[in-house]
Amino acid sequence: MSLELESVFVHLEGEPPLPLIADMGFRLEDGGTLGIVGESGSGKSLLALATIGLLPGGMRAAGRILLDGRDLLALPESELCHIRGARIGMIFQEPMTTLNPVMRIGDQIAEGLLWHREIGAAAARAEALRLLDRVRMPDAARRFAFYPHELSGGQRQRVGIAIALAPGPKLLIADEPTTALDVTVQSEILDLLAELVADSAMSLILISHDLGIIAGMAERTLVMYAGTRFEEGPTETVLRHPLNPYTRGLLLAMPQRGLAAADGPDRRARRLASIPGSVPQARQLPPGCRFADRCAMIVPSCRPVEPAWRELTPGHSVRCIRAEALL
Amino acid sequence: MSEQAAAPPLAPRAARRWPSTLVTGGAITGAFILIALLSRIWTPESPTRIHMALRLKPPLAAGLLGTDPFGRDVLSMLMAGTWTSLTTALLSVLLGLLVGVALGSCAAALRGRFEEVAMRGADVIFAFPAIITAIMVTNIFGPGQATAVTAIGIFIIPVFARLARASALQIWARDFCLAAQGAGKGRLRITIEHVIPNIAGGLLVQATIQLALAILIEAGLSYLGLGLPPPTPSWGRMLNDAQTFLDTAPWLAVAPGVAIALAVLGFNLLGDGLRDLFDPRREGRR
Repeated sequence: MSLELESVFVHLEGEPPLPLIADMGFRLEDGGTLGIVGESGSGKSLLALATIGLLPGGMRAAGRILLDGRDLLALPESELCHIRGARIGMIFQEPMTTLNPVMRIGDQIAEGLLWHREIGAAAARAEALRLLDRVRMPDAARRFAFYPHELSGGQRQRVGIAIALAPGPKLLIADEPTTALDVTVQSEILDLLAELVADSAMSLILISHDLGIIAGMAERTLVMYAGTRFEEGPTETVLRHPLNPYTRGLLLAMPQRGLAAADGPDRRARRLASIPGSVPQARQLPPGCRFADRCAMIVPSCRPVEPAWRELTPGHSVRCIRAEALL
Repeated sequence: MSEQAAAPPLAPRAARRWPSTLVTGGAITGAFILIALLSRIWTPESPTRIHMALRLKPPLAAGLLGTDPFGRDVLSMLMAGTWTSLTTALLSVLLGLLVGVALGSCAAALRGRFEEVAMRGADVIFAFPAIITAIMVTNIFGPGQATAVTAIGIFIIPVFARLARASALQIWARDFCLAAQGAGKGRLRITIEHVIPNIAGGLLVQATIQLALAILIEAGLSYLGLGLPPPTPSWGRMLNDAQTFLDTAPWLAVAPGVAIALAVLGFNLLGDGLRDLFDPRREGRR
């Protein structure tokens, strides 16, 4: 299932409306995987919520969100209900809080099946048990009747994945699915996710602040900063030859094995690089380029107008006037 | 392996201690319910049989609790009155609970105009004192159990509407409601499947406390002659009948007075006990 966003904006209603996401866009091909990466507060989760039409009250999305050519933003709520879950599955960040504490996990999985598919209760339960097994829940038959508080974080996220998979969606949006988990559990869950996506030929949008996770999972990578897109291209190219100083800064800020042990006369060479400052709030965006205040490559022409989004090499786009300097 | 099943607890779990309020309240209300049921099949005397030769006998002189000005057995009337009181209270709380929870949880689910209208409506009803609302309704429809149930129920609706809306809003703020929406469920469906099961405990506690209130209002209504019409025995009318003979036959007032006080106490204790039981934060502070 293909998903295409065309100049999507999300505004906080008010006088004047406050843009929280501006000029977002990407195209996800059928069966493709897209990683969306960015710091906390860059609008990644908001973009995911806007895509499935679940923005918090007081926010409105504009632009076009095309799911196989149908504009989701133009659909009434009643039709969106048949797309959420059934066509687009969603995996959330916090497995501790996304499960209903007073409902057995088996029933929570079966629920989506009963809702979206025309099957009986017994068949739904059998299918739910099969799903629980498929997400490799140890001892699934017994855990079927467990309540969420009886499971570990990793097990709960497996349940979350099973719930998302149950109605058989063709596009999966995973919003920081492993952020709340231990590193060891994290890789198990990611492996599972990759396998499931490949098995059922789903498209996947993986949202993360961790470049390492994106590098391992996504064919294409989209870098977000302060509510807009900064760079998009094949993951390999974006990570090896970034065209945006921000992407470069992110990559340099990644801890690497051996870096701390590297011996050099200069102590500073051994220190992990960082990007000074923090992501600006939507109300305090600097004029011109949003990254200007923190950028190491700033020139005076960065200030007057915000750089346009442009395709620099085929399939590799960027929002930076100095991208050529990094080619 | 970090995902091992929770191992069985090493030591057997300490025997669950029931809150003492729950035990006492449960015993009292249980006794009243048994008496009410018993009164349907057996009372020492017929609660409506008039026996002028035995009028105003003190306790034990005729029957366990004496007789009233018409020679009716007070104990039998009290037992039959228990049935009247409890059924009226139960039905009116049920009415208030069903309508109130429906309104409150829909208000939380739909927000916007529906919420405004429903909640301001609740405010309007709240602004009237319960007994005045009841008198109004009874005057319009005439006395009878259905009227009493409606009159008391109307007063209870806003209590549950507010409680249900406030607790439902808390549940709506939790991630699993967002996840359920993400799975394509409508807001009303999420209310039924996810929100109400999560707020049921608080509602149940409130229901027992409202039962105590409903018993009081019912007694007040029948005291004012707005409850069930005679000769159906009721605690409130027994009190009213007794006040003329307060100096000559005080037992006539004491019996229904104690019954009302005990029933109210019982349901309040039960409510407290249930709250303690449902709220783990209160553990150890009993």
